[in-house]
Amino acid sequence: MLVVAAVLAGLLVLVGVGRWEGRRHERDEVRRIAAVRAAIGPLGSPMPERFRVFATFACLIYPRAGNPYALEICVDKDGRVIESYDRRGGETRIASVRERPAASTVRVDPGEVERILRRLGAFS
Amino acid sequence: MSFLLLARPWRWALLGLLAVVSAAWAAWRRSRPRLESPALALALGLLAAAFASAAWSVDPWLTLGRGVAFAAVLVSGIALALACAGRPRVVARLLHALLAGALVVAALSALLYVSFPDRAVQHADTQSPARYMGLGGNPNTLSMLCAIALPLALWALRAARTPAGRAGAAAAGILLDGSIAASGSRGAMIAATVGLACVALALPWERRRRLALVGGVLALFAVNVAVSQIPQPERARPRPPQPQRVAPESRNAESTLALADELGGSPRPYRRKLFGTSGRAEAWRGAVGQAADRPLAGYGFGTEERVFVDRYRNFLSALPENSYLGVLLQLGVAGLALVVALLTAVLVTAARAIRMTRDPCAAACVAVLLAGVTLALTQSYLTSAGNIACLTLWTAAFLGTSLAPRARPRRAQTA
Repeated sequence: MLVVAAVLAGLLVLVGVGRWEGRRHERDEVRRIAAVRAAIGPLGSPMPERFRVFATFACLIYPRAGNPYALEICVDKDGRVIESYDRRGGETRIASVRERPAASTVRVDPGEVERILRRLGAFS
Repeated sequence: MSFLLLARPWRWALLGLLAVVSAAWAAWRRSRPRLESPALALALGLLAAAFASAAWSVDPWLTLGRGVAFAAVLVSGIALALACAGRPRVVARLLHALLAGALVVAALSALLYVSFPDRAVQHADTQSPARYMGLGGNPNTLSMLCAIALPLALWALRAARTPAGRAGAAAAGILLDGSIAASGSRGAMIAATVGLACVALALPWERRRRLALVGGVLALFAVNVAVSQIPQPERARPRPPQPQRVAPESRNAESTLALADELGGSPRPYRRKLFGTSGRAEAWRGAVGQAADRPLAGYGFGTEERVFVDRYRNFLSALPENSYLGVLLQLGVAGLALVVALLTAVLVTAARAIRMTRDPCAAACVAVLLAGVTLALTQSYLTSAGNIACLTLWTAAFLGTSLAPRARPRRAQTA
């Protein structure tokens, strides 16, 4: 009985730690995604120069200081920004909640994203 | 249509059936689980952690589903071990059955190669030579099973009592080893060598024969490596001169800077080499970085493929191709400690069986386990129930524990 109680207690602790780690990690990633989103400003002004389209998300890429790939955000079909890339300064800093898109609280208008992708020729 | 797509739905039903039949057999044999057994306790602990991780998983339903499948693997192995406890002849039959299963897959793969060579070979490109894959989804799949099963072929050769039996075991060994060499899978070659060397060292051979066998195993490894180096990647064909006009640059960044090539590696064209890691070093570094974001409990059991993202230039896999890193991603340090402790407990118990009973079956089980843990360094499969080598590994591992003599109950000390 003592062993069973100890195992159950260990599992409870593990559940607590796992949930805490998960919340902390997602909060940190979303904060970094939000920073890139803020650095981009309005999605269509100025227009992004490049894009990517995948089955579950699409990405918009903005130039900064001569780097054509400087800032990038990836948006799912519901408008959640699930990944960001900051390539300013020579090093790529990636923030992602791709494994659980629902964790992202950073949102954009999915209709606007689609319009921009069309103007970039993503669907032609 | 892919043969894999036809077979995939069956594996879960058959795995469940195996677990039920094994448990029923153990119950019929009135085998009582010994909870004080470290291997059993650790296996239950690992399963408990796997299911509990649904509480923090990035995909709880995926975690529960993968947990049930892995539980079926462990339950099958444990139940078979309980039903076979102290019955080396039955263990030997089951080991023969595991070898036979691997041989069926290897033989069907060879048949596929004869019938439809295009489907059984990954064609050469400028990075990699042509590699045999048989029924596997890629060249590393079939070779994983062959690497795990090859030590059993050597054990079967030693156990065979008739010339026909010895010829059959030798043919089995040639088929399995040939499949590995043709695949060019370096991890499988190393794992098979470790397993064969273990059989050579642990079985009760004469000293001279043992030394000759170890030498033969090393020579076989050298031959496998040499054979795998015969096919060469295609040479890059010189491009015809382009007309002098500037094509409009594509706005699709995947054609200029693909996300899968975001990190690591040289921008020079990659070419697979004997001593290269095929991009694994970068991918492993990235996986460790991801694991460090959730170090203690991970992202949830069964989520390795969901969490790991291939952003590495020379790496081509949806998994980090290292089982220990995979477990670290799924269940953090806690899960990795449980898996390592479970493997150690199983290994120590089976090694005790070798020491105390000199049973060749125990040596075969330890050899399979050592081949499996070696293979786990370069392949993600230890906790993936759907993987081709997972069930064979855990079944042989637990069978090895069934051969260890039970500890005698302590008698009361009398003055």
